[in-house]
Amino acid sequence: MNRQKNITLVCFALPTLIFYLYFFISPVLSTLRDSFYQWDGISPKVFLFMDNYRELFTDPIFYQSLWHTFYWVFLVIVVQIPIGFFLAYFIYQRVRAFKFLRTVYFIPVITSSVAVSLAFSFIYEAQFGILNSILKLIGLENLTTAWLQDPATAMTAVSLPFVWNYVGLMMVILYSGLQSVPAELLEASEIDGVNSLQKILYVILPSIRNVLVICLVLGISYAFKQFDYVLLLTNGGPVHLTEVTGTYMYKQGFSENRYGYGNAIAITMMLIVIIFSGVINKVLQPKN
Amino acid sequence: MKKIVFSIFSFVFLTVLIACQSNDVSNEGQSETNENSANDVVNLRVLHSFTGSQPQAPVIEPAFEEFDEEHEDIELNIQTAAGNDILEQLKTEMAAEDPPDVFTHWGMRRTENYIKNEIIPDISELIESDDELKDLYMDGAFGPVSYQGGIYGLPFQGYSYYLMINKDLFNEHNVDIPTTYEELKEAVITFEKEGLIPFAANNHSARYMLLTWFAQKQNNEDLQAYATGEKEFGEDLLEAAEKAQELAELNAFPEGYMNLATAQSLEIFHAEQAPMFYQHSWTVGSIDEELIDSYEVIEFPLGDEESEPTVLSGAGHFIYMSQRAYEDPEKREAAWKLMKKIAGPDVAKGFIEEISNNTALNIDYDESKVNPVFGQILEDMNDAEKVLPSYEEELFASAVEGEYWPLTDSLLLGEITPQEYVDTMNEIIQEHPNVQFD
Repeated sequence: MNRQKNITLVCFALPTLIFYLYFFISPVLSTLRDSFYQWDGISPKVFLFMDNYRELFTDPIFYQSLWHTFYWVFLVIVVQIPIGFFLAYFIYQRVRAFKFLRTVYFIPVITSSVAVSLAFSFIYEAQFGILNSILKLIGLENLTTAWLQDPATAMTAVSLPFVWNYVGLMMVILYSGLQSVPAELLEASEIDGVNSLQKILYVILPSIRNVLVICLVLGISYAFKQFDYVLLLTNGGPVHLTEVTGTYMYKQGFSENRYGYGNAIAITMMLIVIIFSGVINKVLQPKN
Repeated sequence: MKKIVFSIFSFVFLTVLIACQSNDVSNEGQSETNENSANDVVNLRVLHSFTGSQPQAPVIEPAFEEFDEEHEDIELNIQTAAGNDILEQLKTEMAAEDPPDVFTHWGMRRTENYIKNEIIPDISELIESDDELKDLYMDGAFGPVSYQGGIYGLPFQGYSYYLMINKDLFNEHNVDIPTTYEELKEAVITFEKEGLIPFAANNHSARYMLLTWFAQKQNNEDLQAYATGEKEFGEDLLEAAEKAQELAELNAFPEGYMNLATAQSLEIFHAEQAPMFYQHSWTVGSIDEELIDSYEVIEFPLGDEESEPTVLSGAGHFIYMSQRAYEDPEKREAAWKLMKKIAGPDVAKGFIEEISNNTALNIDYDESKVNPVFGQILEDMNDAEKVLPSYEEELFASAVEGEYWPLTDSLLLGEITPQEYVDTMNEIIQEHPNVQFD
């Protein structure tokens, strides 16, 4: 009877397992394999073993793009998740029209990145852009700049659409976490006389620690794989000023025809994300 | 238990493998059957980039449709990837070993890899044996598709760089039309002081300027020698680089010009915020016709006393067939007919009369139908003492582009000196020499 049950379980699990192996594991393995080759996508592959990785670890543009990607990770931690949390908390208070607001906050997540990039390019445009026009109108002409070309502003300007785009997603995840906080716990803390800030810091945040871990892992992996905003707004330029690992990988593969090198970047990015996720899980996991 | 699990695993794995393979086989078989049935209709899969808001779309798309209607024995399956999107689309299809039968693309600078890997066939014999093509194309039109003795595509779109000014703004600010670099510099300083943006330009325009000043001191053989690495860049490129960098330092270009799309730079010119515009000829079709009386095309200012008036012009776009189509006699014939249609006189005439676009063909056209600005460009090209190909469009090997663009941006932003620019260019060329003339 037990054996019969096991066979049934295996039969049910098998299609999903095969699907997962074929569509998720096999591409990762083929990326890993190709990262050891020199390949332009058409000519026969030439085995290089670790040469692509050696080149990568001495490539200043890769380090520059990695640094920019870490800046995105920083923005995820410092801006995206906190804003997502406060929006979620705001809605959690059951303010008037909270359902409508919840939808409004989530809209950027489902908006096409092309449309978002186009909108931001209109905002940033140096000659006729909305941002510079407003600054001129209110007498702050000295603050106008070429937002996407000025080294002081380019990386932040290109990051904003990404941060804005995923705030809604963070909000939804955190909102679901907030709903799971036991009402009795909140009531008990209020009886104990905690103020609003203390309630958030000492009651709510520890209660949604697992959800925060999910947000962090998601945010970091999105920061590493996101490249469409950069590609559409600046194409990584000028002179790699806004290059992130995603655009650099894409360009190496599709523009420079260096698929092997592009795959080496992809594998390195994957390893960094895995390490980050592991550390976050380890550090933020509850002790008991 | 283990045996059963192992058997189930093996069975499913084999089933998936066989299913995938048999699917491929059945697809091939099916497509062949489809082609051979239905009264021997030949199916051609076509990929081109002239769709949507591309300026060439009003001529190219109807030409494909017309061909499809005219030939009952040929059925076109047309796919499009607008503008530069075709680069990735084609690369993906080539890498998947599923090239389109006929496709449009740039010259050797972007097809070298396909030629080297024999995905695009040498069509020299087809060209030589076809009397209709004799003297049809401009001199040098096959240059960008000639590779180590073979010819790989038919040219249909030409290009040239042109300098257009707004006469009214020059008159209003009492600035003489510049004929030399020094005069241009003075004009730039005056316009800048007057609160205008001297050039409605993006980083492409700045590169074109640099290339033009360099070319003013070269001939065709020199240009080839530098591109192949036979000669090293020296004083001439240094001077051209100095001029381009100096203009950038003088604020000759708009704020944020590095990220400015070409169409956006033209809007600055239309808005009369800038008196000068130096660009690729594909932009002519987008010039605002209401303002055309204020515009004039002028010769590009000479770099110095040794420079000669030079127009950078040539053939920029080509139509190709794939090796796979070439090997199938029926497809080859059909593909060749289609290529001749697109690279033929009707399309060329449409380019000049309807969309003000350069063509690679020698054809007669109705001058009354030509846009006045484009008419001036054609006149300048015909009258020019020296017409040379642009490095960027024709002579640099495909691998150079990825490094040369950001390098020139670095120069314009002042991150490197002109001498460093020249040295690095020499290194890039040594690493990726043009081998098409070998």
